[in-house]
Amino acid sequence: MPDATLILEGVAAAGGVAALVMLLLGVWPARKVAATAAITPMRRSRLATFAEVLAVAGGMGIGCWWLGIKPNTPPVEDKDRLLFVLLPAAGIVEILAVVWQRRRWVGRTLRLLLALSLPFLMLFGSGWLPAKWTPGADPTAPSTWTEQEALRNLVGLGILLAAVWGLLVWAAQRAGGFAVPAALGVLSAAAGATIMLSGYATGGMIGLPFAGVAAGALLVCLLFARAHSMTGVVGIGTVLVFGLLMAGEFFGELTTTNFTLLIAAPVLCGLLALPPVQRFKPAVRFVVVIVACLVPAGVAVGLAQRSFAAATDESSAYGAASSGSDAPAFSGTPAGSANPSLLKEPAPSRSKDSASTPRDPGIDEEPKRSAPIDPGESKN
Amino acid sequence: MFRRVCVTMAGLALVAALGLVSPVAADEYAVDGMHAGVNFKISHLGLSWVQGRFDQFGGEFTIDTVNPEKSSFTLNINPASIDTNNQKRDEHLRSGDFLNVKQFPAMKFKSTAVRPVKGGYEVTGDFTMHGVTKPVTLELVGGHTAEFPKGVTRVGFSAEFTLRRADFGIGPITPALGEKIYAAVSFEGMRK
Repeated sequence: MPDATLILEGVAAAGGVAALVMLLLGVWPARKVAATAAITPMRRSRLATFAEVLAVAGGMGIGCWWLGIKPNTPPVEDKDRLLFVLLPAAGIVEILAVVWQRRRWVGRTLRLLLALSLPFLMLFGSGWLPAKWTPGADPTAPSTWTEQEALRNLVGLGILLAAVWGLLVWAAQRAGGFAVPAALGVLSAAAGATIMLSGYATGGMIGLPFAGVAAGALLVCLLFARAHSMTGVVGIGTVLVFGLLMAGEFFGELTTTNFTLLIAAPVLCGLLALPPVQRFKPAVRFVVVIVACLVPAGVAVGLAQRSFAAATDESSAYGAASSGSDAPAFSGTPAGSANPSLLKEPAPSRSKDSASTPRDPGIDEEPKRSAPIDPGESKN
Repeated sequence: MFRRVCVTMAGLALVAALGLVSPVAADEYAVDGMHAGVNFKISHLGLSWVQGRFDQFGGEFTIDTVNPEKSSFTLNINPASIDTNNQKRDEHLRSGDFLNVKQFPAMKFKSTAVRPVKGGYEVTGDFTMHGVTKPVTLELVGGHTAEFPKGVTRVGFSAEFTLRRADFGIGPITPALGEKIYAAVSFEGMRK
């Protein structure tokens, strides 16, 4: 697991960059234009969405770099496609949706198309899909799903994403909708942590910078530009969280229970539409939505943490048992005289300098190997 | 007439005899999984080696004794069969953090050039792991034959080689793990 301080630094860096981009490209130009000419709410909305998309891109880029996430170029696996294909596509869809906001069907159609494409793109070329769906693959290679199963599952996941995405955009455009990007920020962090605890650290880490991005962008909007719908952040955040959950489920060990809990959590943002909630003050509405999302997300993180701890205990169980009096001693140090500090696992250095990197016996020198033994030599 | 028939028959007999005694240019072998292994080790914290193996693999090769350059070797490995004697660690190694076996369900070596050297062959080929294909050169030591059980001719080879994780896009998840993977293969092939 990555260092907690490093994670906090990465999240903070992502948030700082996102806030700066929002200020420079969203708030400041809008105020400048408003001072010289009348700026309509529609123009403000387009400008803000464009700034949001750039803020997310900048924040995610810095956050991933800070955390040491190095996706492959060109994309070859799920997390590469999520970062380089799906998130930019979500940003473009949200920009086009706000450009043609009078024709709502444009935005809805584009979201539906991307939602239906996402599951296929995440699983593209993998053993889940029939080999003949991948150009250049051996058509006789075995796959987990038959063609019918694959089609059914991909369409089902796509429709699920489309429904969640539509609901969140709708909720974000209602009064108090600024709770939605905040909830997505919390959820991306929770989903990332859960996936990291489920044996896919590099996949889960992608979710962490978005928590900072959502916080930074939202803060700037609330302080300087009054709250607006922030559909740019919501669209990219929804695709990110769904993509992460698919990566965890299909390429990690994320349990179906945790997948369900984490996909159910954003749906609770729909609470904003309930009349009793609508009567609350904005701050109370915000708290209600965040708490409602936090409950299932917290349960998921808790379950993953418990499973992770149990697995760690299980791994070390034999070592602990072997230190008993009846067990053979594996340590050269007599029992009772061991220096506790020697028993601690050396903390890996966070420094990128090689001077503090643990020495790899395989790096400093080639292992002393004799020539491979030729089993046939004995006959000669 | 009788003389012509005799000459024809003798000619046919000569052709048949030459065909029978001429050496078979290339022998084809299938890897015997019972007498083969794909093992590896990787440094942990610079203190010890984590050792492991792949339990499922197969392959075939052709040995051309007349033109050794025409020999060929193919080895297929199922990365999901990784075994480091710890179930949780194996699950993590199969995940997207390392081998991503659902995304890349096959590891493969396919030779592109074979050169006879003292004690075996120097085999250059394309090794595919984690969706990345890189040229690798193996020094295959061996090539001796035996008949076991009776009627089954087999030949065996061994090789040790080193790979770098970064070359195959398997990133530094943690500084605790060494960059180099030390691999060793040993196999017998049964003549088809």
